[in-house]
Amino acid sequence: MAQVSIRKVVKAYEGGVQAVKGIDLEIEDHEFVVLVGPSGCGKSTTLRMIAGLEEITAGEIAIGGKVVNDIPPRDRDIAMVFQNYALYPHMSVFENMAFGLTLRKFPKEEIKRRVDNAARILDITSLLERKPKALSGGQRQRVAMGRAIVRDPKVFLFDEPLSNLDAKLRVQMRTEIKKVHQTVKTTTVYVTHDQVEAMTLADRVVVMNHGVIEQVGPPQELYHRPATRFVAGFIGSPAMNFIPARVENGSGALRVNLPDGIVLNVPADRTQRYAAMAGKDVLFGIRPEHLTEPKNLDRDNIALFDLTPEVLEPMGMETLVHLRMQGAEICSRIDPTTPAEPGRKLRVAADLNHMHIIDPVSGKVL
Amino acid sequence: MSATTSNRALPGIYHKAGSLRSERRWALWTAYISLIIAAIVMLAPPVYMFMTSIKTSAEIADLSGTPWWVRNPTLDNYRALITNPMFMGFMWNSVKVTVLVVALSMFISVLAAFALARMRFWGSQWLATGVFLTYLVPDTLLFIPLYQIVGGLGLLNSTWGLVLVYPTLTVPFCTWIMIGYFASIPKELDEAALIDGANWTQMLTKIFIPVALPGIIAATIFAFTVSWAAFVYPTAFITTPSEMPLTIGVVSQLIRGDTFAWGQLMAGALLAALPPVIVYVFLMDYYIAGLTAGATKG
Repeated sequence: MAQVSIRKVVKAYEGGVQAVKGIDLEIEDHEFVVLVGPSGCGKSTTLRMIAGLEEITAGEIAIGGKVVNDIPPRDRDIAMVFQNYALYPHMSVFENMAFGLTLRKFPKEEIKRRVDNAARILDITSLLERKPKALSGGQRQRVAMGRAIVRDPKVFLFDEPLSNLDAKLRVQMRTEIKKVHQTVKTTTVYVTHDQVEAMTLADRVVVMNHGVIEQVGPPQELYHRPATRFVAGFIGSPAMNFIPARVENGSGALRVNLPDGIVLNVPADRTQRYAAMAGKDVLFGIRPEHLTEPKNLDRDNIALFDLTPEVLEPMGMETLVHLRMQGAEICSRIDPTTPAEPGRKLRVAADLNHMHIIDPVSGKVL
Repeated sequence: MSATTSNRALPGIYHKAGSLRSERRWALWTAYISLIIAAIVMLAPPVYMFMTSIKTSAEIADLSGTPWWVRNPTLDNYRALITNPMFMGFMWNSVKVTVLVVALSMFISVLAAFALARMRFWGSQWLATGVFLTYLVPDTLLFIPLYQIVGGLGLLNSTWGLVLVYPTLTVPFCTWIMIGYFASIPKELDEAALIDGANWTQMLTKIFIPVALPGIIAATIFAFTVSWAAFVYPTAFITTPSEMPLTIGVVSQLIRGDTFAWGQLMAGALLAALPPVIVYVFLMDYYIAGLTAGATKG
C-alpha cells in the first residue's frame, strides 16, 4: 500500500512529440484514481510510466515515497492488468496467477494460499486448472485481476481492462473491480476512455487532454463544477449543450442572449461571477437533464421557452429530445409521458441554477 | 421439385447460385487434375527408386519388359547396405552432424531472433533484414571462401568442419522464422512478465520459447532437412570415406568408376530419405501451424 506522486512528468518521443506535457498528480494511499480522456491524451503513457514500461523524459515518479524513475518494473512492486488480458497462453489459470510469486521464490504453500484466496475473491476457483483459451473474455479478465491480487502489490495499474468486453459484461466487471478494491484497498490507478467507468469507479477522476491534466476531482465535482469546456463536454452522457450566447448588462441585472431571441436572466447569486463577461460573446452550457419539460416551476431561476424537436429518442425511463436552435443543436431530457413530436413546438424549462458560462477564448468555465 | 418451383419464382437469384455451383465444380475439377498431375510428377522418382531397390542386379540390367514392374522382388540390396559397416558409418556421421547442427542452429537463432524481435536497439531492423539477405547467398557461391576458412582451421575432411559450416545455411532462415513468430506474440505478454518479475532470460525461457514452440519446431525441421540433405559442402570439404555423411557417401562409394550399383544406390537413397519423412509425419501439424503463424493474430 502506498501513495503515488507524479511530479512535472514529461514524456517526449523521438521527433519531439510530447505525449505527456509536465503533469503533477498526488495519489493517496488506498485511493482509486481514474485517468480518463480521449485517445492520445496521454493517459496510457502516464500509466505505463508509473509501471516502468515507458521511460520518463523529465520529472519524477515516486511510489511509497521512493523515486522509481530508474527502477525496473519488477522492482517497483506494482501489478498491472492489460486491455487484452495478456495471460500466458501455455500456463493454466493457477500457473498464470502463481507466475509472479514463483519467480520471486515464494514457498509453495504460500503461493497456493494466495492463489486460492484471490480465486475465491474473484469466484474463479473452479477454473484454476484450465488454460486461458478455454475461458470466456470475462473469466480471462478475472484471471488477469487475480494475477495482480496474488502479488499483494503497493499499486494496482489497470489499462482499459474492460474495453474488450461486451456491454453487459463490462457493467458486471465494473462492479467486480469496485468490490475487489473495497476488499483489498490497494492504491489503484485505472485508465479508461469511458467516462461512465471513470465516474462509477473513481474516488477521484483525472481528466486528461492533449498531454495535460484538465481537472482532478471527485466524480460529482467534475460533473457539477467542471473547470474547462473540455471537462464539461467530456463528462456526462449525453454531453452538455453548448450554445453560442452573449452576456448583456441590463438595469442592474445580467442577461444571457441566446439565439432565436431567447433571453435568460442570470440568477442573482451568479451575477458577480459573470459580470466580467458583460458585452462579450460566450458559450452558454447546460446539461440535458436541466433542460426538461416544464417542472419545478415554483423554484427560482427557471426559464421557459419554446423550441422545435427534430428527433426523439425514447430510452424508457426518459426521452431524449434533440431540439433545433439557430447555431446549435441541443439535447433535452424529458419525461417519457410528456407529449412531444418532431416538428411541433415544445415548451422547455431551463434550470438556470445549473447553467454554466464558458469563456470561449480561454475555454475556462466561469 | 421444390427447387424447381423456387427457381421459377426467383429466377435471377437461383441462376446466380447455380452458376456459383458450377464455378465451384470447375474449380474442384481443375484442382483435382492439377494435384493428380503434380502427385504423379513428384512421386514417380521415389516409386521408381523403390522399384529399382528391390530388384536384383540382373533384373535391373535386363532392358526387356517394363522397368516399372518387379518380377523377382528381393531385399538383398537393403541387407547388403545395412550389414555394410561403411554405410552405417555414413549414417552415423549424418546423424551426428545433423543433431549437432540442429542444436547449434536453434540455440543461435532463438537467441538472435529474440534480440531482434524484442530488444529494440539501434540498427535492429537493418540487422534483421541483413540476416535474411545472407540466406539468399547460395551455398554454391559460399563454399569457395568457406573452403579457405575450414582449411585454415584444419577441419577439412572432418565432420566437425560440416558442423561449423552448415549453420551458415540454417541460422539465417531459422532466425527469420523465429523473428516472425516472436513478433506475433503480443507485446503485453512480455510487459506482463516484466512486471511479474521476470528478467530477459526468464522471459525467453518461461514465456517466449513455450509460446513459440510451433515456430521452433518449424525451424528445427528446416534445420534438420538442410543439414541432412546437404550435398555441396560435404562434396567440397570431405574426401575421406570414414568422415562422409550419407548424401555423398552413398554416391561416392557405390559408384566405382563407371560401375553403378543401382540397386544399392536406390536402397541407400531411400534409407537416407527415411528420417526426414518420419520427422515430417510426426511434426506435420506443428510445422504447418509454424508456417502460418504471424499471418493472422489469434
